[in-house]
Amino acid sequence: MTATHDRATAADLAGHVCHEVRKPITAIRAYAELLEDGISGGLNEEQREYVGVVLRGARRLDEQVTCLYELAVLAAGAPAPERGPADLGELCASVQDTTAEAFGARGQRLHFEEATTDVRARVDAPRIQVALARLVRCALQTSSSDVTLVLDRDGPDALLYARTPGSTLPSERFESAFEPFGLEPHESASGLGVELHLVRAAARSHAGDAWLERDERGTRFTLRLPR
Amino acid sequence: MKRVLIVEDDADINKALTIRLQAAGYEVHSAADAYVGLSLAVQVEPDVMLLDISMPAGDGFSIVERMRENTSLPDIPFIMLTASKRPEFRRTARELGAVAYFEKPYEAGDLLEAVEDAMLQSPRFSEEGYAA
Repeated sequence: MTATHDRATAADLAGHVCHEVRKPITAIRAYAELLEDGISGGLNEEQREYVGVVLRGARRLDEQVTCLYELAVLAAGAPAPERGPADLGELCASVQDTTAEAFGARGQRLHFEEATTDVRARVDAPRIQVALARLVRCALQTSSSDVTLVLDRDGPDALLYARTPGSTLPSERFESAFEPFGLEPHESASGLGVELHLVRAAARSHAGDAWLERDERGTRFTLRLPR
Repeated sequence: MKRVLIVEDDADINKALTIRLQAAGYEVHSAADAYVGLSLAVQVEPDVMLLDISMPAGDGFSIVERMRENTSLPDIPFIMLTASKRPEFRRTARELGAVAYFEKPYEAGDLLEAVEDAMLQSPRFSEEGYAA
């Protein structure tokens, strides 16, 4: 049996486990949301708080399962992106929506500085959306300040970065943070520490890249994509 | 009343979807496998179908394919749901003309919005122009 075969088998196993674990997570979330929305009657403040804990736990568990699945798929060979035309401004706006709760929970805000002209690219939109959300969450998790998401052009490329003035990530970890499990649990939305590794893999599958840098305005969590 | 057919083999998820859609004012029919789902689709002619992909007695795609073989049936808009992350499922859904595709766990608000949008493509909706 070859190492390639072993990795493919591990990816299949991870896919099966991910599929099966997501079903009970879906049920937990669906019923907690029914309670939260008062469909079976109103909740008092304490009950609402408990339901919120259940929902946050279910979301975190889903993120963990998804990260582990993506790591196994990457180990078996990164899948080619399914490219299509995408408006990166819309993609950034959707990331604002999907990360709003995480920002609210920490009392921080996500601002969006959009390019003056439309920035479009041929990308695997669902994959880049997830990568961008993870990049933004990493900026949030490593900072106590607000985060600004910037979309810009740089020659033939699109540049998306999350900038925050207060990141606690030291510059000597800017490269190792992209290794598998390179982030500390508290720096990672899933607690697994693999998010930046997955972000870079998504960027490189598009012939782009992801990196960290610091200037006078703070730390930049950057994603570069060819348009 | 606007009719939704749910075909989902996980009983807990099926029930949660049913409660959610009924609370939003829809008439909901549900099935736990593709065979019963297909016969219900023919019988009740829903405005929108919510179809799980991996199920007993055929997948969610087979329901759409079998309905299209019968040209006397209307072209009912459908939304795919799956717990899988297999990219080929998303591709097949797009090729078959799914109006939306959700990976579980789904956001209830997004799903309701997709159902409402899909209603606009229902043959009965465009003929009668009714509201829920």
